[in-house]
Amino acid sequence: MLFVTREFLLGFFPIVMGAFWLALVLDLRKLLIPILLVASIVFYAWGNPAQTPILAVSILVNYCAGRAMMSLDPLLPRRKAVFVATLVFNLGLLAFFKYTNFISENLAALLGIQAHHFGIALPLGISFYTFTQIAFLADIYGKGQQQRDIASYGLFVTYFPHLIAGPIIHWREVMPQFEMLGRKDSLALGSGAYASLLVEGTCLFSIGLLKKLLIADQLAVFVDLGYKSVPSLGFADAWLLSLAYTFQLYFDFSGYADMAVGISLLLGIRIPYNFNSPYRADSIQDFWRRWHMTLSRWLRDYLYIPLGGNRGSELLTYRNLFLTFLLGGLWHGAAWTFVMWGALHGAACCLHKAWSSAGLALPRPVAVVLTFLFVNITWIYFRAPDIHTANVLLQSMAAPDLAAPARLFAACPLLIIGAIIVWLCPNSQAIAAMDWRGRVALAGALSGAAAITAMIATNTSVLSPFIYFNF
Amino acid sequence: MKKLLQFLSFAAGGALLCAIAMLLSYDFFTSHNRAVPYSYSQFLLEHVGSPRIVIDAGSSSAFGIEPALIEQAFGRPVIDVADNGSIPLDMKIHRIIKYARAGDTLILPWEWVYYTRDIVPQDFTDKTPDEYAAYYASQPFFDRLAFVVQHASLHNLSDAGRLYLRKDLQQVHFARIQSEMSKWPLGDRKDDLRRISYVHEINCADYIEAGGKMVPDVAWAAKQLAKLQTRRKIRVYVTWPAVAGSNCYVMENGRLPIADEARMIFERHGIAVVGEPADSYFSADHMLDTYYHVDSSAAHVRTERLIGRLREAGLQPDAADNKATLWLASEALRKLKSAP
Repeated sequence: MLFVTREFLLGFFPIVMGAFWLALVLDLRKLLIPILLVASIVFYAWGNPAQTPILAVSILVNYCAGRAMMSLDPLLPRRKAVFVATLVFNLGLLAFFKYTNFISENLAALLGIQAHHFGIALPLGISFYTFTQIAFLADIYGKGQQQRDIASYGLFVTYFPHLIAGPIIHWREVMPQFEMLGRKDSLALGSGAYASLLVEGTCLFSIGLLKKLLIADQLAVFVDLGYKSVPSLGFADAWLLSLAYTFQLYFDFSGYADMAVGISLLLGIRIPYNFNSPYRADSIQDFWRRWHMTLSRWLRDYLYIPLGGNRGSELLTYRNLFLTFLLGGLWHGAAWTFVMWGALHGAACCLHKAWSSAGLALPRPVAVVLTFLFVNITWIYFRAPDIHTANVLLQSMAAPDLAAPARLFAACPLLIIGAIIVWLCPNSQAIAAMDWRGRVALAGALSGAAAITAMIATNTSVLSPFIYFNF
Repeated sequence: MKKLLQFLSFAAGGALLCAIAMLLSYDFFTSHNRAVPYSYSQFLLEHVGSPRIVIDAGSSSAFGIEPALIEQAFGRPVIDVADNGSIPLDMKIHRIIKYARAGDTLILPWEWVYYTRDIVPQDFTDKTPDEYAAYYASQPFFDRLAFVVQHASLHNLSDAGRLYLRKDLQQVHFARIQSEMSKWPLGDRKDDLRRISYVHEINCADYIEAGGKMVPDVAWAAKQLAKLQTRRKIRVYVTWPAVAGSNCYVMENGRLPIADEARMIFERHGIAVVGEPADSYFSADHMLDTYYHVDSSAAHVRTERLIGRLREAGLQPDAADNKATLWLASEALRKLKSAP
């Protein structure tokens, strides 16, 4: 189910909120977790019930493995065997659904034979729920954490605000909050604390929805149009296309993340922010501290550090850094374009590390512009259907001419609005968390505007899925 | 409670402001996009002066009427602005209210779907940024507001914006007007080459929808037309659509119930209803691509019958020496092109 459909906005979510509040009013707090769990399963199964058993199997296997590791002596080799086996299961599941065709096609090309295309559909959110559970297992294995309640665990994995496209939540962040839901002193419907969460959540949800519908979806029209005719684009159109996608992706994904955090706040659960004005970053390292922050954290904690992090020689540190980004690229999708994108970011991070180690620095405005341009260029590989198309577009961007943009000129007003929001306005979490008198009024006005925008946006049968649903 | 009330009142305010902002944006874009009408028939409606005979319905009357015969019979310019059955009845009425002028005579051979259908088709909404912008703009403020909130989507809004930014939009519209003018100078769209049916999977009765329940909008439409007759001195004649096929009508005691019901409603409001459905009902060999599209020989017969019925109903030839429609249209087009 998408957040920006009538079935979600007028059906699913009001019902869930109604049931949640009713349980609070009647003091049936034990029902809160089951309500959220059932809601999350319905949310996931809606429209794609066939993929639900895969999610269920993944949860059960990981939960059982976790229980088994908790009950085993940390020194027993069997514990390690359970951990490794479950890790293989998780990565195998991900590899099977996400990379089978990619591997088959590349093997066939290597061997010079006809590739067989397997009809494997990628289960929604598999990349996200797999990573979430690997983190859980790694913490049980490495840090001896305990978790026995299957309902809470099931909810942690399936919790609908984050299930399909993140943020990638860490169990340490949400499990205690789930437990708190059951306690009488935690969440009271009329309390000032919950009212504050409601205001913040409404603000965030509304801002996210407006970002997605008014900017990302409108830019999508130009991006789709542009990528259908890359070879015929001139210099100006090529730049407009790359910028349109750069802004589309940001407003789409950060819009989704704002909505996810906002919805969760309405349910009394705070999940982590995923963005912090990434296009204001003054280095590639800074960019990754601001873009898809929960993925960056996961990659750091569960890939970069286990690879050795910066504990070895300088060369090994560079290797670890590069590998982390390369694999991070591959996580996004089974295509060489993603590998290329990851490799470019990895190389840029290594370069930046060397640059900073040498004590060099650029004036901040220059650094911000350079970082943005680099990110903008690398998004081309992220969006292009293949490396060749990306290279053609880059060639057009590198061949200046004086011709006016012919095809994508109409995207300019949206790009200007996007740029003003990105560089001159406070970001969504700053707006939502503002502590000032007009906060309630602002939340009200934003939610009213969002409601009308959503209504108008859903007057068509054309769906507007989030880009990160593909990953 | 105070905070909740504050929240709700600001939510209502935010919703209203947002809706009005969307409406103003759509108004702004579409008014620019229709500065030169999208089609020749819309151009005729907007730019040919009265007195004139205006034929307005869906495509049945673009194929099934010979306006030249009517012009000959009544000595008045005739424009056939019939376009598409997907246009909702209230939109048709609003457009008539906006563009009908004192001295005009309206002939309305609406398809049966106008009497039985109460929806705004997606196809219609998607064309409001440009092709049907005049229909959208003809609505009063609150109807436009309701249309934007209930039917238009953000895609329509952005389409309108993109068209607004197109530098060649007016040239494209002028080219279309000239092309249509050269083929169909009175606005009709007869084309006997369209003989391949694309409705063979649906029978005639189901397609033409003459057996459904009358929608309340018909009574509202009759009231609006009655106002036009009394306040703006416009004569209105309702008649029946041209249909070709077999077993298209389910008759009761030799009468078509929906036609009788419609006749009763219009006559109650003082609007003349001329002819019988049989006057414009033809055998299947006169059918073009749909049951509502008849060939030119059927159109000729139907128009002659209609002229007779209109005479019986009191429509007299104009004694004044009126200019021919084509001359008026050419002059109007010349003026529009030379306008700053």
